[in-house]
Amino acid sequence: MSKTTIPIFLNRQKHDIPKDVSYAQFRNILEITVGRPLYLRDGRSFVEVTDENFLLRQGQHYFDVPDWIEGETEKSLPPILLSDIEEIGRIHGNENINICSIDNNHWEISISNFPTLPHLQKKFGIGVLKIIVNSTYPQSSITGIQFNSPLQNINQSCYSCSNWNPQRDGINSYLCAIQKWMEVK
Amino acid sequence: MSNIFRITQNDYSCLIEALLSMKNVEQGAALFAGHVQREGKNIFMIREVLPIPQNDMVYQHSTGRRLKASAFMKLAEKAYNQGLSLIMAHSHPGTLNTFSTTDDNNESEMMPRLLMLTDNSIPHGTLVMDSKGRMDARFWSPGKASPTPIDWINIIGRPMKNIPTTSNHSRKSNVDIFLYDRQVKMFGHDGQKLLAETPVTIIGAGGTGSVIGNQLAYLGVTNFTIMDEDLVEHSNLNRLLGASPKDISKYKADVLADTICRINPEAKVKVFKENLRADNVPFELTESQVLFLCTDSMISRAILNDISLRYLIPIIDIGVGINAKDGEVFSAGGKIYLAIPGIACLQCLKRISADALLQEQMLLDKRYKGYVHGYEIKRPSVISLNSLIASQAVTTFIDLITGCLGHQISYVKCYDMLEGDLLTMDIIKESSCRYCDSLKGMGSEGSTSMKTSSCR
Repeated sequence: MSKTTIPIFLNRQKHDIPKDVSYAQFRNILEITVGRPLYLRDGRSFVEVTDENFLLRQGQHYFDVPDWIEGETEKSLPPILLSDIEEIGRIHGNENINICSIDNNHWEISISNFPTLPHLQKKFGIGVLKIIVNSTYPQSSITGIQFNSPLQNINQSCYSCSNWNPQRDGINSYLCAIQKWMEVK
Repeated sequence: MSNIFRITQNDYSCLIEALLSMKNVEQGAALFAGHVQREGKNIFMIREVLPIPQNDMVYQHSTGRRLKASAFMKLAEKAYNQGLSLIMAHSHPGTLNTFSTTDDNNESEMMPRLLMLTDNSIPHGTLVMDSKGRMDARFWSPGKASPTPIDWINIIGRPMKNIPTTSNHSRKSNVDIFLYDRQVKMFGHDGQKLLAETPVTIIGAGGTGSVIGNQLAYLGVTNFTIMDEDLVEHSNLNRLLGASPKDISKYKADVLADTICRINPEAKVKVFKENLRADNVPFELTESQVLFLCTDSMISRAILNDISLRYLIPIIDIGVGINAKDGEVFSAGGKIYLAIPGIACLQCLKRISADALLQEQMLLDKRYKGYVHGYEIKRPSVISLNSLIASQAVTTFIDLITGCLGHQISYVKCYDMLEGDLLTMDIIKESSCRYCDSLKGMGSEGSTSMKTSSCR
């Protein structure tokens, strides 16, 4: 890293940053929470900063913005479930993930634009995959899927989780298995 | 001190749909609002209700929800670019009718960020609604470490509603049920209380304005703002209710204020001894919940229509005219227009004529430049006609506040004095009104400035 620094602002606080840092180093220096998006003010709009578009300039204004969380009670998603959801969010894009409670014990997780394998797309298309987990996850396995695509609907408890291992398996491994299952089918 | 969220009936219905359409799931909406404040009083005029789609959520269940940072940033950017306050609303499907600890923690982190993102120029707020529709709300101002509670949610429609937030424990006092016993029999106790609590502004304290002021004072209205720059002249005494020869050369606004206080000693009256101007709108006027326009001037009408839309305040506009010569009356009558933001404005109701506005403006300019001398031609005016039209306007007001006259509402009433007919007319409203669309809830953004009053 160069010793030459330039001033930038994070949340209106001035910081002097070596001018040739990578985006990862930049985040590290500013101690930005992992997974939290960073925005750069550009005129009257805000641009999400990524590895690709990161270009450090003097006087830039950055803001790190967490998700907006609200709730009636302290009871929220179990931490392990939240962590798994963050993992699939990184893989499939946060904007494609949605969670909704079905009742007090079950959550439905939707993954929009769930990619089937390229050679299967003629059969299945690209659609919305919904999986259901209960409050004892990951001790108990995922109970079923629903897949809605322009070409085909699947709605069943299809993928047997007889080999479910809570130490090993999670939502992401389940999604990978679903893709393999589609290939076999 | 009162802090208020003001919302049109239509937007309030949208908000309920956005927050309570799914049982057992917390839902959310983003509200964009204009803002006006003075001396610790804050009014937020909600311009738009934007339901938050499920795609924008990380999760959403019965006890909590998490909005993606990217979606939140889009809302913040929109608020920033439009100069509006962002009010984040969500539901509590259970029984908690105020903010939870989760909400408190979230806002403590997020609201200072939101203020930063929008250059610390405007306050932003939050609202929570439980499954029974009870609401709590608050806002965060630049430079303040904690939120300020909202006391009331004003719903602008017919009838008007003032809903206290669940954290508002300083409800207003009861009405004198003995004094107003005969009215309570008509409006009910709640209706009478609403009349007492509704702040009104009367623009023009002349022939119709004085009658309206008197009647409102008798009805039990207690919070008045009066605007009029004219002095009482000898020739006004035939129709200026409450005025006597000793009032000549006094301000009409002062005379009406004295009369109101004599009728109702509980009344608080603020007086502005000047005409309504677009660039100098009193804060008290924006605090009002009903504006009576009694000047019969096209310029005042255009300015007040602008204010009504910007601050979400209904207007009752009164006009009276007699066409007569040498004892022969060719036509005589009056009109009452009710313009409610979110339903129809005076432009939608075709009350404002561009030609008449231009003529009035040109005449005013000529007088200002000295090309025209003397005062305008004195038109015929009699107290009986003024009183009849003013009474109809007050009846419209009673119905607007209490909703006691049934389900039908007349936005336009016309009285023909020669025929003795009072006709009501349906709204002929264009589907899209550029005034309603562009000005609704904008507050002073791009327009007016505030001024202070003399208060009694």
